[in-house]
Amino acid sequence: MSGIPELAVLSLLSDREMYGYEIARAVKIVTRDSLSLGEGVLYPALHAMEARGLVRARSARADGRVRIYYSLTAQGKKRLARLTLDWRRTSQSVDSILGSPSHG
Amino acid sequence: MVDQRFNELREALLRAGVAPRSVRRAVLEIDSHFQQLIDEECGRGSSDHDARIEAYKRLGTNQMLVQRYAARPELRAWSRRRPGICFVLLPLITYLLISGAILMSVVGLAHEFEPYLHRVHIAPHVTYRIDLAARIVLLWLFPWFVAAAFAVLAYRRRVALRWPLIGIIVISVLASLTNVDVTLTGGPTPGQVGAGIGISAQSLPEHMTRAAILALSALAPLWLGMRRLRRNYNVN
Repeated sequence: MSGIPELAVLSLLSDREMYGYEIARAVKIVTRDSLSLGEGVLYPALHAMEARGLVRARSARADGRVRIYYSLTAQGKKRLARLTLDWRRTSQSVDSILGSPSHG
Repeated sequence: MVDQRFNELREALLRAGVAPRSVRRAVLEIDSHFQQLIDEECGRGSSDHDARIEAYKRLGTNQMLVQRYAARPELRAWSRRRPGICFVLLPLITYLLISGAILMSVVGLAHEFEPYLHRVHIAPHVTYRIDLAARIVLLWLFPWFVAAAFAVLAYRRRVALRWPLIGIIVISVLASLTNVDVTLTGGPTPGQVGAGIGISAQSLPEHMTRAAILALSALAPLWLGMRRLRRNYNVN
């Protein structure tokens, strides 16, 4: 389960660049609050992804506040594809074990 | 204006060994996120007080944030991963390399002006002052500057005192054992420039005094800064 927040963030950033608060809101909306963790926890994850070259950051000023916008790098896109594939395999395996009708 | 909670977060992140660049970014972004959460809560009709409480709750505690940052090795400062290299070896190498470079430059200059030095006679008091200036710069100012620069770096990174302490003592002892001799007299034998490292039983008290003065003067600001931080943030 440890890769889920990373997968969620990379997936959101694959559509467009976003800043931290926007990402946290989008995660809440998309997951209907099922991924509930302190919103501040997003930042160590984002900074670590940046250090690993998965996302790039740029700062911009909006409404008198500095915002750091994140976007996906080529490496990040590869990582997203990999995590998505892993997730689908895991999900299919779990569905099979549980006898999900979608795999019946 | 940054909330006191974020000042404490900054301090806790630095103490946890997170790179200062990441700390600055973290505080900037988390503070901005906090303000937006307050706006969002106020927009829902909460009072400012309730909005702040809810925003704190949604962000998570400082302790949790620090744990998450500390768990990411890629966000740790290099100086915290290799403190021995950063605060002992690196200052020593810097001191030796730059001392050597300064001395070589003096020799190079003396060599360049050798024909001129053959033609002039330098008064004894000028010879003495040149020698004294070289000694002050190379044996006092420069080692102090290197030791103090690494002490400031250690303070900014909140590194445990023992590492810069070892580095400062090593540089101070080395500087106290070093001798520099710049004798420019002019005339047929225009002078000599020399340097060496040595110790004798006779000069031991002098070496030790020099080392102690250098070490204490470089260490005092670091110690005072760390004491102030401990008092302000009530940490050990």
